[in-house]
Amino acid sequence: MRRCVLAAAALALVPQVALAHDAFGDLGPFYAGLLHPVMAPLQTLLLAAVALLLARQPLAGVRVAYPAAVLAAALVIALHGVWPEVSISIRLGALVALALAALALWGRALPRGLLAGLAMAGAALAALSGDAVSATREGLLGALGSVLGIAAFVLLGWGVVDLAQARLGRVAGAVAAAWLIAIGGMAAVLPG
Amino acid sequence: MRQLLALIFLLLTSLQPAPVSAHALDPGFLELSAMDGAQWRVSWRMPDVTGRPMPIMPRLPESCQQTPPPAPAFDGRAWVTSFLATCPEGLAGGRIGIDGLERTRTDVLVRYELEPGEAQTQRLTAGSPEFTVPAELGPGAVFASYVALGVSHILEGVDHLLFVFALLLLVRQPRRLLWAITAFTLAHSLTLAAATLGWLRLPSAPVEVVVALSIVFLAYELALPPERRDPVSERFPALVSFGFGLVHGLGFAGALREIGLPQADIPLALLSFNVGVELGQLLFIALALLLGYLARRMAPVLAVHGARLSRISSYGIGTIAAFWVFERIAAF
Repeated sequence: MRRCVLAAAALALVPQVALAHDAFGDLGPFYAGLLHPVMAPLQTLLLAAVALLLARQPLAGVRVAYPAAVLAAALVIALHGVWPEVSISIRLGALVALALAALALWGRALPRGLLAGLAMAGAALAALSGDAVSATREGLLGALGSVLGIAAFVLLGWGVVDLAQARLGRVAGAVAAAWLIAIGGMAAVLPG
Repeated sequence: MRQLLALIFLLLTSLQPAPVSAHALDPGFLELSAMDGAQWRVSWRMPDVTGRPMPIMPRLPESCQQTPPPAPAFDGRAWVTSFLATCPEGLAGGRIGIDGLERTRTDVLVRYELEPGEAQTQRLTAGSPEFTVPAELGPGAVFASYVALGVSHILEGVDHLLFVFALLLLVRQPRRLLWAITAFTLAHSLTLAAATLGWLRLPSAPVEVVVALSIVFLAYELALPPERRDPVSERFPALVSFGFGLVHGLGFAGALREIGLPQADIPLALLSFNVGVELGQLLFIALALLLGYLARRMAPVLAVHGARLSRISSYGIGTIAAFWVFERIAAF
């Protein structure tokens, strides 16, 4: 704990140019990363599919799969900085989202390990569809924003569908899954 | 568990503002300042994208002739250039647009003067990259434009959001929280209006320092066990948030002065900007509360260790805010 405090203090003392926010904004890499899940359609699609799959599974499995997915996303974001040339096509991403949504529509409880693996795969591909981060301070902020953005987006998506299912029954999640399959299918046949 | 929380704290510390190179999400800024006769000074600020200016260019009304703009220079945050434009027919009725904006995810704020000192503001987006300059903005356009500016301003103001977040962690009872947020809102509305209308004039540098200090104060209180907290802030959190809200309002006013106000609609623009700030603040609070609720729903253990988590968060918040204090003092 003490070492972390010292490291944090050292980070805080890194000299910076004075920078209060201003009227015209300067969102910076952290906000850009944080908002990426709602700005990049492929990432949105993949993360929505992961959230929906989790929402259709028992809570015990979700408690393992959700942190595993966030961890996988964080790992891929870090590795993407090392291999920035790696990327995924819209078609691949859309097909994976479609498959995850189909599993969500099926609605059967999956083994925890399998659920965690699927959630990790979906989150990892979503992370890969974002911009590669550089090994700089801005890169670290962008990566941190991306991880938090992905974590928040999946948590929100899971929560919204989970609450809807609690109120309206499991059919609410099934309807959402059907929509996601349709969107994934349309994205998969996009040219290019 | 302690090590994990310590790691989170370490990561939080790295959230302090950095000399960022703008990202593709950053807004651009076009300013047309009226000079004598039919001349305008055009200032053009392009976001930085991986070391180069974003490929967007302003397009002035057809009747305007402009001197060739010099190559943009990087000012540490964005690429800027300025040039003169001669518009014998004036700006009113002409179309101003940003070529290439439709291929981006950014916005451009256009501030223009039909006559010297009569500033109007328009926000262009990828979906709406041009507009016809009206002789006078209608009340609806002023309202929509300044509400959007208020929302975007508060959401980009990390220090104000951090203050509100610390308030959320500090005041746990819903009724007290409601009063504290209301008091904060009321206070910053008062000083925003007073400073914008020129009734209250304070230099922005010390104001920004006190804004950062207000966050340090809340973080310090949050780090203490409830029985050791300041009796005033513990019993009357609304009073404390009102006091600090007065200072935060001065910060908002500085931003609004930078944007400029339409001379014919100052009260409406002021009200709209304030409404936007409140909407953005409510959006942030709702999102923070919702995420907290969902996190507790998914992992009830978080609720069990809520006090400890708040305390850990306070160290992160306090570290960032203390850094801002020194940074802003150094910028005097």
